[in-house]
Amino acid sequence: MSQRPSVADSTESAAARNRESYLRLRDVGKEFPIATGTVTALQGINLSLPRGGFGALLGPSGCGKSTMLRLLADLLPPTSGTIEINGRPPSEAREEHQIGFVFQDPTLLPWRSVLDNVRLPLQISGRTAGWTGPSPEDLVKLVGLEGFESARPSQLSGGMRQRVAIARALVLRPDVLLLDEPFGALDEITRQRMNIELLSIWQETGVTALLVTHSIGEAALMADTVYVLSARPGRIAETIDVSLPRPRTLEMMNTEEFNAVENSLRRALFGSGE
Amino acid sequence: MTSITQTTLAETAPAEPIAASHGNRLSRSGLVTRWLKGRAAPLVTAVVTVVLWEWIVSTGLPPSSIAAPTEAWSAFAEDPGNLWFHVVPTMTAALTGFGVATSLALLVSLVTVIVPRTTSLIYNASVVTYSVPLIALAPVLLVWIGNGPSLRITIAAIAGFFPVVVGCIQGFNSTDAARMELMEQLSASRLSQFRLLTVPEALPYIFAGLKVAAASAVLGAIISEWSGADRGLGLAMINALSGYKPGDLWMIIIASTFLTLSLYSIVGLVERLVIRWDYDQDAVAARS
Repeated sequence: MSQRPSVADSTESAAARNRESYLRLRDVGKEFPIATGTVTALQGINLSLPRGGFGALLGPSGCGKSTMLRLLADLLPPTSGTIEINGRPPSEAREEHQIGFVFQDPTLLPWRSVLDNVRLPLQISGRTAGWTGPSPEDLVKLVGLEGFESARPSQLSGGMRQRVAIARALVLRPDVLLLDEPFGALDEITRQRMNIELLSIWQETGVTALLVTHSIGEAALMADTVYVLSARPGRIAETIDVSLPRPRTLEMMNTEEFNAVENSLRRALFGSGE
Repeated sequence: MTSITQTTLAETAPAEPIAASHGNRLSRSGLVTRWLKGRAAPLVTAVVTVVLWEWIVSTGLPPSSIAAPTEAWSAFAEDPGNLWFHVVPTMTAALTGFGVATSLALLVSLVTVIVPRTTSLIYNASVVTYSVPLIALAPVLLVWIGNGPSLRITIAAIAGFFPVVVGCIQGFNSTDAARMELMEQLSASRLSQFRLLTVPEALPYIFAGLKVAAASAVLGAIISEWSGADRGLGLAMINALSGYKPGDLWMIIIASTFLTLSLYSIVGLVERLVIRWDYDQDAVAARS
């Protein structure tokens, strides 16, 4: 994080530096214009996540965590600071389809079948012939929807729809997976199961993941590093490493170690004034 | 795939029920049957109306200009070929006019997609074409175009143009914001976005416009025949009026209604065949 020595960068090789921080935000700020001037959504954000890592942005509603994800995805431009994905600007990463994004809502195309929804990014990127990545059929299996390939989104439950969205986000084999409260609309039981499945998908694909959540338990269960945000303006109040072993399981949530992580996250959240 | 994934998936996937079972994945013939069943209720209503109408006229209460269904029927039975003789040119003009209106409206609304700044100009110009009273426009156009099928096609096209333009413009501008963001995230080109997202989302609006346009085109064709035609339902209507033949007049009115309903229903059937998904999928998702 901010305490990482930046002078070392010049002596390291580019590859080593990339391994060090795959996603990097340096002094990033974001302001939105409103009728009476501007409102500061994010201020002085410094973040770095290594390749293949799992980060979580934890914070209350309105703290700018979704905005941060959109800055990384090049869906919004930052007002100040620099953002790098593998040492390059997010716009390049987006144009080269290196970013997979899972939105809060599944945002599927209702006129397309499950398989055709998963296929959509391949179609848009023109990677239909000679594509050596995972097949849409394989991804539908990976997210546990085998047998539902030709179903329409309206025939699926909320959890199943979000599985389709995850498969769609992975079909172009991205290096980064950005998840904006993907299971926020699901019931607790389905959500826990989906979290464990997401972890195994993450381990299988080796993708670098950044998850936005407002659930302390979810952040503790999923992430290597939790960035606790405070609101108005959104700042990183604390960065907490989670040293729980992998693969993580739901049973771990009953252990003392897990409670200790949750408590430190809770302290960071409520000690930040909001 | 790891064994962990497999076990967790085996637990969860079947546990989640299929949400909506209605209205999806019907075969094409199944759709047609359902559509016909939907027509049964109007048919019953029509039969009841005809019987009631016959009875009311038989009481002698309504004025003599109101003909009973049996009078309209005998006017038809007297010379069935005569009705067909008048239906054909009106139907042809309405269909051709509808086709011209649809093509022009699609073309013009495509311009609004390519150059969004033209939207309000094109929209307002279309409102003006719709606001001009067709009955007054017909003689003016007669002088310009001359009396013939092209005059009737032109008027039918003018009548049908506006509804399609409104449907297209409204449809092309109602693309869901979240799906737009998805397209942006996927770096979709404008063309891909239009083809894969904007058009499918606009279809319900476009079809709403097409249905109104189909009905308007028939009306336009009939009105154009009032200003002088050698054949057509409009001419037959004028003749029946001037000759004071209520039976003939009501036969024409019923025939015109049938023609309008048929065109409207054909567009409706095409809509059912093209749009085979539930529009309100996101509303369902929000509740689940």
